Amino acid sequence: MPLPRLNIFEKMRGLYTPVIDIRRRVLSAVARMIVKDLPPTHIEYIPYQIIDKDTPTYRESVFKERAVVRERVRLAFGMDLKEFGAHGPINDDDVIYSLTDKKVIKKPIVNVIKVGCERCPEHSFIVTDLCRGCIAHPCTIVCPKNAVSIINNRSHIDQDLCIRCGKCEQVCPYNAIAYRERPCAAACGVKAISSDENGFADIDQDKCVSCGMCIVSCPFGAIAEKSEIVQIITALKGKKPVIAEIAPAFVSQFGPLVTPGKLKGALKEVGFTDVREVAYGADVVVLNETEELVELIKKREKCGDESEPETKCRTFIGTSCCTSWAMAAEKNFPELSKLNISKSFAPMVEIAKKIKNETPDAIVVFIGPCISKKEECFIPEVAEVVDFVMTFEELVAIFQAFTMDPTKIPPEKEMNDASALGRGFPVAGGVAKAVLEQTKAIIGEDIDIPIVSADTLKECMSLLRQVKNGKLDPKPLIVEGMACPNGCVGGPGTLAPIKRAQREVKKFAKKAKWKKPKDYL
Amino acid sequence: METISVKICCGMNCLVHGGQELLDLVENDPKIAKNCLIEGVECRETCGDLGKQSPVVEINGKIYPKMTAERLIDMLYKKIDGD
Repeated sequence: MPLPRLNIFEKMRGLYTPVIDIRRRVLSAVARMIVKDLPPTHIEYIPYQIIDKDTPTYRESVFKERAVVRERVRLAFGMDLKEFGAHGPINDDDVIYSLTDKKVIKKPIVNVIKVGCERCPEHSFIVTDLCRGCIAHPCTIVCPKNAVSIINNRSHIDQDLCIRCGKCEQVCPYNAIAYRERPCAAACGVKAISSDENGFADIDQDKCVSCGMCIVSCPFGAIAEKSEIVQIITALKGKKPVIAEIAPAFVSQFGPLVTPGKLKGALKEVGFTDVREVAYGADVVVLNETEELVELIKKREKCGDESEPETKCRTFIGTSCCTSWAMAAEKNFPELSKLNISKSFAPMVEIAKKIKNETPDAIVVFIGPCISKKEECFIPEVAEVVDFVMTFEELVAIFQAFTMDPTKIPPEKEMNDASALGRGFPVAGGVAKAVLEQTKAIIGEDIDIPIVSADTLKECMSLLRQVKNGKLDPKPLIVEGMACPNGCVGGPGTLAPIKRAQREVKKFAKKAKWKKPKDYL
Repeated sequence: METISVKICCGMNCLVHGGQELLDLVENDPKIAKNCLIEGVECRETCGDLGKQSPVVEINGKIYPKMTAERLIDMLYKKIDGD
């Protein structure tokens, strides 16, 4: 018997594929170049270091393999891609602008490396060799558009007539009809990926929310994000204090031997002056959202009065900590989200504000599992306090470049700046639970607060649709959305298997000094 | 049968170049988990600069560089079954 089908997010997760290998080797080679202060011309050698064979390993030729690596190197420097038609060397005299401790990256964050894109066919149903041309041929009977016919004793789907309803696939006794889809488009929860005129994948930047799920789902490694490691390493080598704020999903990301204390030690060893927990920011967010919720509950009775027409009153608190979810809600349900998504900044911003208050000249670097936080930094208020964003994957490239191994570092005193609820944010459901518990601690246990939560953008959007149409009973007061599968622990910049990460995050939360944000804030 | 010692390097180079996935793979394989003593160990400094030889796995005292999931499962199953 076949095993249960995995969804697109489960298929390649937890496997070390050559795509991941190349991505990580490019990052570490770029980081090494900056750590060693090699001249800008060295950039042209990197593709030859990564693809160092005379015969092709991954694609039809070593030249194409290097062409893809070249684009990845540009992205790792934070530069724009060289799109088709703009042919030229990687170092187009613009590399020097990236060698700075100032922010250089511009939109878009998530990019299709067209030279690496295999132009996979768009989603469609196809008849495979399993078709036996059976006498019953239910496929032709159920098709509402008469798109399925029997040609040469075999089913045939006319793609021009087909509306991709999938009924034929469902009824075939031989499972001979397969649904073919592009992994990138399948992973995209906001339908931002289509094709350009040549059939290459194309991201509609008006719809894209930079969640990064297409990046980790493309089996050809043709989608990549811009990185800021070059600017971060330059900052680390400079004189200004650089302070790391590390997302609560960090626990266990660096292997079973790297304790939070060792990680802190290693970060200090490569040049960070201090390491703070973003979970503190999460606690502040819990307080903000709780305040909004208490107000909502108070005002609830008035809703529908003449002073406040029913369509104008707030009905739930939408969490705001996941940037991609908040952006997707805003783009797809503008009125609903304007009214209901929390105005609170993300945890990353709240802790950054505190750091900048204490050390005004500090350079603040957010380290997390998240790519959409890079997008969030284009918001002016956020850009003021958060200087750079990098993923756990990029952080390891920096460790490698400095030949620094956190397993061999004497552990520092563990960070202890947050409550258990704040530390529980990165697991799906954690945010809603935190706001719920905090609210109950304030206004009493007896009040009924229905919560709903969803992970992956597709699920999030369908949840919002249900909320909008009033399909949910009881009507939720807290709606939590997470763009990544299982929450931040399933983010595109993570290193650890999701299950292990989930377990360890919960364990670490239990070790917190305080139970609730209310206990210390 | 003797317990097979499997030491998977968890230094930064090996960890990001597949070590973490190997560790997860063997820990979650009931047959391997039952017959082997699985350990995540510190860097052995045999992985080379930027982890060219990563991931490194030590089986019964012998070091194997550039280990892959396919090869590791195959080797361990053969050892367990005694061929």
